[in-house]
Amino acid sequence: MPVALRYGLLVAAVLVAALMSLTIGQRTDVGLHNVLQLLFVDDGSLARSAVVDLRLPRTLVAALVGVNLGLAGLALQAVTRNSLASESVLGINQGAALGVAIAAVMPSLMIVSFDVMAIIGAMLAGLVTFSIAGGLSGRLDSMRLILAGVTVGAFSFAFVRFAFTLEDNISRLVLSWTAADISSSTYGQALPLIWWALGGVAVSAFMAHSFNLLALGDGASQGLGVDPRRLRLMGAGLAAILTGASVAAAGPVMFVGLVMPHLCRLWFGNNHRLLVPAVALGGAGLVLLADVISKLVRFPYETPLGIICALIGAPYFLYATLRARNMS
Amino acid sequence: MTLKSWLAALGGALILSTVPALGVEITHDLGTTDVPDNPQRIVVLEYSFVDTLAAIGVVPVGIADDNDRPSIVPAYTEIIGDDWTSVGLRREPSLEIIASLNPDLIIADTSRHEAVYGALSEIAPTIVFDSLTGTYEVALDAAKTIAHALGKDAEIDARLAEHTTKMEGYKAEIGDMSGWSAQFIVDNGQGIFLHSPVSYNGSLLAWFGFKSNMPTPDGHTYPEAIVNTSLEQLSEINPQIIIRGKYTDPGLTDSWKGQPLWENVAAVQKGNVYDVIAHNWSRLRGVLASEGSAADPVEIVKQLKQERAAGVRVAPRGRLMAPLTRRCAPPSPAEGRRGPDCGALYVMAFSWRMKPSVAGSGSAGCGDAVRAMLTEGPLIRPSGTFSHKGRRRDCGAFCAMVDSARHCREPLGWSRRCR
Repeated sequence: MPVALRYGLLVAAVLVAALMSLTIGQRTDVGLHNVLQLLFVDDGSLARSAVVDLRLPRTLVAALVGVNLGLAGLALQAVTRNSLASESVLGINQGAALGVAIAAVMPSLMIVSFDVMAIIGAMLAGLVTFSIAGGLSGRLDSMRLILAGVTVGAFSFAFVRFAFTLEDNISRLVLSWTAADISSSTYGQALPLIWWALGGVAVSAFMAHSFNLLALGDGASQGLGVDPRRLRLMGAGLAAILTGASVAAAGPVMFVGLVMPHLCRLWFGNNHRLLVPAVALGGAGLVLLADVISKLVRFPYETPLGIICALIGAPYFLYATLRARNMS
Repeated sequence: MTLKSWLAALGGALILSTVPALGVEITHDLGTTDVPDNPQRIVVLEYSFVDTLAAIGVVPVGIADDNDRPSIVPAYTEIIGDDWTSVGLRREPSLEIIASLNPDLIIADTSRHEAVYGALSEIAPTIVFDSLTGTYEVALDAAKTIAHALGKDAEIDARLAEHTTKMEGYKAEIGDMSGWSAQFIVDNGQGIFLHSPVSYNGSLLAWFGFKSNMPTPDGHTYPEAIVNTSLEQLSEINPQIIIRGKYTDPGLTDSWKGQPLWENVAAVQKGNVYDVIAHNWSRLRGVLASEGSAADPVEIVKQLKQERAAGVRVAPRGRLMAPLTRRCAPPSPAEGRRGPDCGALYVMAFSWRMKPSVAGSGSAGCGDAVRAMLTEGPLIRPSGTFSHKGRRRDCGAFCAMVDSARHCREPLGWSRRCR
């Protein structure tokens, strides 16, 4: 299949998933037959308001979170040269969650905003994971990387869970947030994500060639003019920023960053120049699909997005682990 | 007699002497428990059990009060006093503190404490009732059973008789509301939670005769009783009356102001969104609690009827108007802004309940002010003016605006120029 056709199919899948996400909801006066008309023509009806004011920001958040997390996972898998690496396995997701939980529990510690707290948390968690794994000295040990990620993730999430034991209101707030409930997303959350996602795509595309070289090994890539240590730092930093921004908007959505690069590699091969747009599209499609499922599982009530993503992602993680013959 | 029969007799005597002579067997949600006769040291792990003890005048030694003593409201502390120990969160009470209180009876909640029931039972006999997800009727039944366990059957019967009279009185005052759908919602700033027909508040509103537009769920789990939902779902349920308990101010619902979906909810459109005290409505359940919250629907219906009888806005009549009308006439809607002397007080104290869209958002403090006016007679209304943030303000209006009824009744600390 030519590459262009594959991209075309992927774009079509994302559009269909987005349309489904916009169509499905509690109001009965929105259906496939009129959703596009409602989206583009302002007829002042309540159905139009439901689509544009409530569902569109939510669909945007789902798609953009998918883009960000997919790219973060791709960058992490590239710089660690480990196909099991992803922001949730390396504890970055949980670190971002910790940042937001701290901001929610102790508002006085909130330095700037939820976004920034989440990014700081994600960066710190990533830094700790990488330094435990020996990444700062230039030699990454894959086994240690995964174990360090698990440790950092468990440690961060222990603190998030601590918030559950606090007073009812704080715990419900943190709980609904850690379950990644995006049902009341607003444009205020969706618009910043657009910039993060655009930046993520641009930087990833810029780094794609270096990722390809790094795949040849540290020595070879250095010989070809790429400093593996600097690239690792930049890749991990990019992943932390993208994860942090997503977590601040939607909560810790797990496993997207793990699943999507994997699937895309099966379909597009190992060339990161092709993978970057594919993973961005695929991530958007996957989270949109999860969003659709989250609305249908307990219709007319909603199931948080994070739970659906974990239900999709965890079995895949198991599958990938079993298939990975060699951890390094 | 053989040695064997002697031993058997001795053993029997021993057993008889260790088993308490009296005691009562209580069947509850998680089994059957022998409650010792006349328990003295009782620990309760939900607010509704505090309610029951208050109803029969029994003082608990320990209460799971979420580490927040004021959460045990004056209606309870007037009866049970302040001499109890906090045993921590209702969700996760401290077993250590409970054990240190050396209780002889623990009353726990089915869904919250099922996991620790074994541990609690080791500390003391534990009886368990569905408070969190139970209905109004379940709460009354639990009260009866608890009173029976404490040997206070006569007291609870008398109290329930009084309760029934009171509630029937309220119901009669409310009248036939079968054409009106009412919905209680909690707004915690992040999301809204609808109390469904199988929840305590849903069943209480149904008992008063209000309709519910929410589908009745099959089960009684927490997410079925207290449904976390979105504006879109609310717009589909489309209740004619919204009774709103806000834990934060401004709440999430306030951020929806101006959105067509919110403005077109029947209750919002007609100005029938009424704020109540979130804690009292959403957390307190039982005999005293229902009598307390019954005042709200009674008041709401009174205003609905007045509104319908006299058009859009109605000047409050009767004894409440006396201390206010003497100095100035209530303003017309157009003059509401220009007559700060008692117009602001009037708008704040009366109209926010009738017409929130005209009066602006009513804060919980003003709810207190109105409730106090309605139940305890006129407030002390400070006279004079003072300067605040560069603007000259009327003491009375400002007091009603920023302070709760309590402060209005007490000498005011915030400006010496107000008397």
